[in-house]
Amino acid sequence: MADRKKCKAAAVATTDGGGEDRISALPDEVLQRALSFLPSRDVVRTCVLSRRWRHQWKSVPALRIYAFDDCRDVQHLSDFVTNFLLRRNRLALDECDIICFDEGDGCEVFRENARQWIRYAVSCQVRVLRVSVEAHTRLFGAPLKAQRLKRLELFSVELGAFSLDFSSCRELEELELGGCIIKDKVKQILSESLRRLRIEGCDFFRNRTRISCPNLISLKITDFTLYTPVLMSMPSLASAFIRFGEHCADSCDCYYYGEFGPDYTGCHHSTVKGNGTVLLNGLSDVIQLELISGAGVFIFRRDFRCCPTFNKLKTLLLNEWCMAADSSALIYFLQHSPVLEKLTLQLRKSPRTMVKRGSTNKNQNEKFLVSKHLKLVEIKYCEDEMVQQVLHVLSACGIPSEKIIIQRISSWASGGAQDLRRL
Amino acid sequence: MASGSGAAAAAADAEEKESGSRMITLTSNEGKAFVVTEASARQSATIRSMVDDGGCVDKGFPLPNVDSKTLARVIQYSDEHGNKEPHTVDERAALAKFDRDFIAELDADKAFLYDVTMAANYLHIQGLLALTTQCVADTIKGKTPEEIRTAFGIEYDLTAQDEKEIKEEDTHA
Repeated sequence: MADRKKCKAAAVATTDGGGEDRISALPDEVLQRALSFLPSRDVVRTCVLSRRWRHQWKSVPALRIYAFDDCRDVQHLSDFVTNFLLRRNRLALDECDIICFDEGDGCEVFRENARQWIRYAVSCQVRVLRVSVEAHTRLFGAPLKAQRLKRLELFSVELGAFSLDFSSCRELEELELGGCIIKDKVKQILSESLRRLRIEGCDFFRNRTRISCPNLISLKITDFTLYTPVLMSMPSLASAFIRFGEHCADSCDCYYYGEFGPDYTGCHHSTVKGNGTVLLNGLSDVIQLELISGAGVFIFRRDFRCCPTFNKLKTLLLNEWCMAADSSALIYFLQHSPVLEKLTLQLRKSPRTMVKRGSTNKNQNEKFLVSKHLKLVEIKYCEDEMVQQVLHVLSACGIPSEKIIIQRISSWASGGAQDLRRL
Repeated sequence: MASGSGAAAAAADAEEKESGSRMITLTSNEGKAFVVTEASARQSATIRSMVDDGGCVDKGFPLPNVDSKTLARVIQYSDEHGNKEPHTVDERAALAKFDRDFIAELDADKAFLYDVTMAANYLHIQGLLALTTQCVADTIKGKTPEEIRTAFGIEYDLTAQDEKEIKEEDTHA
């Protein structure tokens, strides 16, 4: 609102000052760059401003299509885009947005057309592609072949068989998936060039999709449902944030390793095949790590049996899951992170006690030295009982109390929850 | 504000001491010299490539397309973005606020917005060009053609022939 007012004031100032039109004197490429920020509909409307603006829209290096709420409008929009693409100069596209925030029937047309528009954008060497279609439409049947694509964002899209094979997108550096359904035919998310990957609120239907992106430097996987994906080696990984969702299949409130699953309510038939780990080998080179999980998630505890070490890990954040079953996860990380500098623990409530049948974490009772680089342990907590327990563990590991800062959080809904969401 | 510019000066000092960072002279088309840190000057891809090619750093860089008023404003932007890299959330927020205030002033004076945009384009300062072109876009957004013409002072000069063609194209949804 303030912006609108400001612009009005500016308009008055310009006309008062003689109304000299200098913006129209900007070079073509600068005008087109300005227009590239706007929805394509607004861009086309500038053709009636004056002769200077008459054909600028045809060379704007962006295609931005947005549909909101009104289905009749969606039909109109589809017709508009068809005509727009026909008359536009077929120049390279820096950015393309195809966004629909409507689940109505009329949007069927939009989804149908979205596939064509994506093909058009790819044929124009698009650099940044953003697609959001409600109702989880499947958009690609085959691997995307977009050679110049640098950044891809997909929201509410259904992803099948080869749709996450990016081996033909050689310049792809950033991938963001939000609220997508990743079907069980998706064996892997594959990219040699990818540097940053965010997967938020997605469903992994396959009993272990592999993430093979060896050059990642930043990874964020949050609030997913069903099966935890398998992380392959990522030697350059600088930061990782993994937060398990409530509906993760890899959770068992009864057993430490979850392996007695099928007979108990709340436990699913999730399996971990082979000898490798699910997450932790892939995270073994990370420098900054945040792991937020329910106490029932057994993926880490199974992974610990393969004895991964974290030789570069400097900053670690864990929540109360690490205190389950005699603080075994906390102790594991302290034991296997030789250069750890800062540890943050967010303890909201005590995890339920669970049977640790079959667990043979022999190392746990052995003496060990924590990282001599450890400068700070920050504990945020709600219940006094938990903080006593964690202080006991830290003291047993030889961490002097002057390195420990304790902070009681009265409500996680405000400050604490923000911390949990940070990355 | 005072503490902000103090911090900027302190950061510039620290940088100079630390790496023996050079100072670079930029001269406006009115012959006025502006001495800036190399880090600030490197915000401009044009100057960056001249410096890296072993260009005339000692003699300075004459900028025949930029007047003193515009250059001072461009340097204000380059100092803020070049002399310190934001690391914390607060630093990033402070930089974003600087950008907002910076563009709000330009937005109120479209002729000056034009000058700064031309300079950013000529000097290849991508961040600044993105900021000023976004401002032009924001002025267009949500307005009728007549409102846009008023905002920029655009004179309507389409002929009857143009109008007929626009109608036939039918893209003007």
